[in-house]
Amino acid sequence: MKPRTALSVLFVLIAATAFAQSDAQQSFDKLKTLAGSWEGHVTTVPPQADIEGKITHASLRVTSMGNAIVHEMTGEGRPDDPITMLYLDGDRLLLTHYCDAGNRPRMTGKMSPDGKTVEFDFFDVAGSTEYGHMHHAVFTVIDANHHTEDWTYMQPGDKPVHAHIELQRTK
Amino acid sequence: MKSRIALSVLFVLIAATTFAQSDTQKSSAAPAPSEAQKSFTTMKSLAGEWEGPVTVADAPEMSGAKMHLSLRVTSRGNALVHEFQEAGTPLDATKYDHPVTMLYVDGDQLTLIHYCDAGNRPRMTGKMSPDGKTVEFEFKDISGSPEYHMHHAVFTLIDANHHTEDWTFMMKDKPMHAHFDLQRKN
Repeated sequence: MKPRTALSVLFVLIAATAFAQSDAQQSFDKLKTLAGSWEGHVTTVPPQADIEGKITHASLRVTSMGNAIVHEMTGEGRPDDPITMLYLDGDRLLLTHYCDAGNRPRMTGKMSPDGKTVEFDFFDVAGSTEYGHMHHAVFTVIDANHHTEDWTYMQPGDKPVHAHIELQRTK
Repeated sequence: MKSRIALSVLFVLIAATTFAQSDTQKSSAAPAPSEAQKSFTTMKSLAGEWEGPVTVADAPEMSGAKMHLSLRVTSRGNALVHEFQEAGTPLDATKYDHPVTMLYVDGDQLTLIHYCDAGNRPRMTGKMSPDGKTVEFEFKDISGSPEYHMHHAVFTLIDANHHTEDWTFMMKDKPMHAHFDLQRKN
């Protein structure tokens, strides 16, 4: 390969890598815009009578010098408080969900072409999945004070339970 | 029962059922807690708000700052969230350090992942000393660049309202050791 051709190939590879990193960074930056406190109602499919319509509080905080987002959710009248850490890992946007069920699924996220949605697909899980595991998550930015989150929990036997949360910013 | 299990696994609003069921299952023949679980329980006793000075032997100019530490038990008791920042500073990730460390039991190992201000995520495994007063974490692996990374941590319980933390940060091959002397605020 001639030196000039080799250089061109190298630049293309560098550019491709840079673009991939930028894509993950853009997705991460989008999620950072959700930093704040949020409140809203949850709906479930299939319907879960005990939790349908209950108020949910969400907190998103940018920490670690901008290298991580801490996501917390609590439900009205219940002691649950799962933590989800979102961060960049090389050219990937990742989340680790420290689940109330005791395991820690990881998911990789990508932003939609219109820049309004960041969708996370299951990557792997550490810990027991005896009671299932969180499997999928979607963050949709409606406007500065309104976003939705869709979380899919995979029960044993691969039976999904889907929770949709409409969140309004409280600060 | 199936609907209870379904609820138990549903994210925000569920895990109470999971643990209610787990407790029921355990009640007939609860196994002795593992060493990792005992260490984790000791760590959970530190839950609260703490403040105290940091001493950095290798960098006196960094010593003396008053630090604020928050330790919270979350995820229905499955995780402990550790957050450090300089006392009195606002949450502003562009200006102030605010590393977050997650501690949990992974199988038979007490584990922590340090979401570092340096942008990487070292993982360490911890063991409690025979006298039950110290939990020491050794480096296991890291994701992200290892050039500058947190490498070692020791938590020492003095009494209910006083503990120390010793964190060792590697700057390439050079260790930098920070000692935190922390008093409980609540």
